[in-house]
Amino acid sequence: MSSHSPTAVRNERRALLATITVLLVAFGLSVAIGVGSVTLTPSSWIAGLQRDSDASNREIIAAHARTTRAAMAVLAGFGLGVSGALLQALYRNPLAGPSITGVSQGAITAVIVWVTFGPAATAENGTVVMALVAIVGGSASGLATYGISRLGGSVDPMRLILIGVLLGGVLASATSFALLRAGERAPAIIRWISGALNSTSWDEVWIVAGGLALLAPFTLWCIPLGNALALGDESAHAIGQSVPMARLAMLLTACALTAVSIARVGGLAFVGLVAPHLARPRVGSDLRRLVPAAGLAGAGLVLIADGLARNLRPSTLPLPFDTANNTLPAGLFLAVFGGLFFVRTIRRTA
Amino acid sequence: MIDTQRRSAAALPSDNDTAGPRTPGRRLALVLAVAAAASLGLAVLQLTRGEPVLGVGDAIDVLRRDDSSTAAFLVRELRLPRVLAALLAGALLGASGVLLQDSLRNPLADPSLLGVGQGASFAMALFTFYPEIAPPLPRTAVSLVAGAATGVVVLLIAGRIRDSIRVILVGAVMTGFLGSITSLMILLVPPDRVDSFASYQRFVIGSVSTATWSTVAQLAIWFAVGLPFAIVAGRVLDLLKLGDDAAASAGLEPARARIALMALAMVLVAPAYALVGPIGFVALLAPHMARGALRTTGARPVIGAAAVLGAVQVLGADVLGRLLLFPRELPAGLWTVLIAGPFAVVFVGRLRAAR
Repeated sequence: MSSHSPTAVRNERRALLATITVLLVAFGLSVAIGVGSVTLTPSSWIAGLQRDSDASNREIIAAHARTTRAAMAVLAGFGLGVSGALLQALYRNPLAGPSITGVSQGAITAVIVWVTFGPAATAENGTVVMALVAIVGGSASGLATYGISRLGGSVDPMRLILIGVLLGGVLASATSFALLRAGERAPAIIRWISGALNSTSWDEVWIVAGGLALLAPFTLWCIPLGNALALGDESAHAIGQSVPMARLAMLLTACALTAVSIARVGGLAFVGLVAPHLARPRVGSDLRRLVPAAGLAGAGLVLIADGLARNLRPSTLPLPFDTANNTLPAGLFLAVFGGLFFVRTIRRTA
Repeated sequence: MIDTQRRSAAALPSDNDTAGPRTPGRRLALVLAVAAAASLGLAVLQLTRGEPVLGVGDAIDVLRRDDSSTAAFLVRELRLPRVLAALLAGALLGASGVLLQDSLRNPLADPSLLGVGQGASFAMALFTFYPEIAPPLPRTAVSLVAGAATGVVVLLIAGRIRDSIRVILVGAVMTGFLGSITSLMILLVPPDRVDSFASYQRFVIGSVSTATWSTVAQLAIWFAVGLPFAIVAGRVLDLLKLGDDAAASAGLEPARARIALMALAMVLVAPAYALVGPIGFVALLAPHMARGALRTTGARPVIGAAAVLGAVQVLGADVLGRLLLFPRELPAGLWTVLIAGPFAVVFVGRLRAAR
């Protein structure tokens, strides 16, 4: 303490934390890729990815399947975590998140309505189309929430959330109607809603990665806006920010991030809500640090959930009947963990 | 925070006793008359439209004497129980909405937001897909208990039940949580039972299309038992609105009274959800319509008016679902998506934020 200024100590601590977090995610990734029915060492992983002649078929399949799956988990988790950090800053409310503010539900409903009633998407552009549809749906739902909340005059953050919840309920009913018409595709759609990461292809990974990369400049642009809003509307205005425009920019960016993240993997509930909470006590609420930290936390959460989903199979559970599927969706574990976490947060705050 | 007391402060129970040209009593009579006329019109539509279309005279004819024709079967066994089930379920929902909103002092209380609907759906999924592990009780009884229990758990977790936002957020979490468990049950369903999915989905949306005379009888029993209690409880609701201290000085234990009122609300709503599915936001909308039409918040007239307005809503919903894309039939829950839900969203948007 005596030889270092407090700022230097804090910077050192932050550097350490950042290193630990990155190492943890790297460890999670190596577990996600290495552990399973076939154990992959780093060398057999690389051999499997390159389809070397000395790699067995099982190793090749496992290396590709697990790598795409882990990559998708990291991408989706990162996007959702960042989206949640932006939404919580926008609403100035620790309970905000894509799934509570109607954004996820808007994206999910749009995709399901498209899948059920829209023209059949071809295999090549399926994910791109889904991502675009999800962006339109998520943004429309987010904007509706924003617009309706202005009916009562100023935008009250709490009321925004209430509207998001109610709108989410209405959209969920609309989803039920679409499912009624989906016929035999309904179980597959429900699987998508539940958030499952299995059988991810490289194309899908690249599409989601590309989408998130396109949104990166917007996210960076939102960071100072969010920090200004955190000072309060008047202070933000005094700095020269147009408060409604800043909110709108953050809202649309957060909606697009959520939509791109879930376009392939479906509903990963509560990641966007929980990730900033995990990050905030470590890095504070300055968005310059919170956004990347929440992204990493989200990536870690989805990785862990998918690890559980990969290794806890229904067939290992004592169920008195045969099951149609032998994998659980990762979203299930996230819903359980996130739900408990959310309830704890509610009981502590407000 | 949302100002939840804005409406309740305006009117006291004495409002409905004063005589005058436009008293709440006369407004109530007017609302009842309009609702009765609307119900009658909708019932005539429901009894006569469809395949085949009947004349009004024919429909009344077969109602008066059973001539064992197809038309008689259609009207007496399919269309009439459907009308009555819709009316009864709607009345139960409307009355329970008033009890929930007034006892929680929460203008946004709706059983579907408290997780009651998802609880009922969970029981339905259990019975539809896994009959062998379902408890050996009637499906509606388990749906009823599951729905009511979910609502109670949400209120217990929220703790401060008068905080609208907390209750609704906890309800949203509980709905999501149970929803993902229900989705999981569907995902793991044995392949030979996937066919039952459509009937499950129809229930989840809320539909009176499969109502029989047995449905009507069950709803009627809950209605006959619950509604008088609700109207008697109106006095307690009015006392609670004066504030907990005033209620206590009138000899009421506010906490206990609230629990009893919530239990009564569950007794009203859970059978409706268990029998016709969780039709969302009807219970939210009806009390607000009733208060607006009566220009009073006195609980007893509002409960009566909300019951008839709820009944008209569900019947209207069923007619809408049946005739909108005729001959294809949509479940009555369509109402939630097209009308009651958007209204609820806009209603919250218009609530004044009190800071």
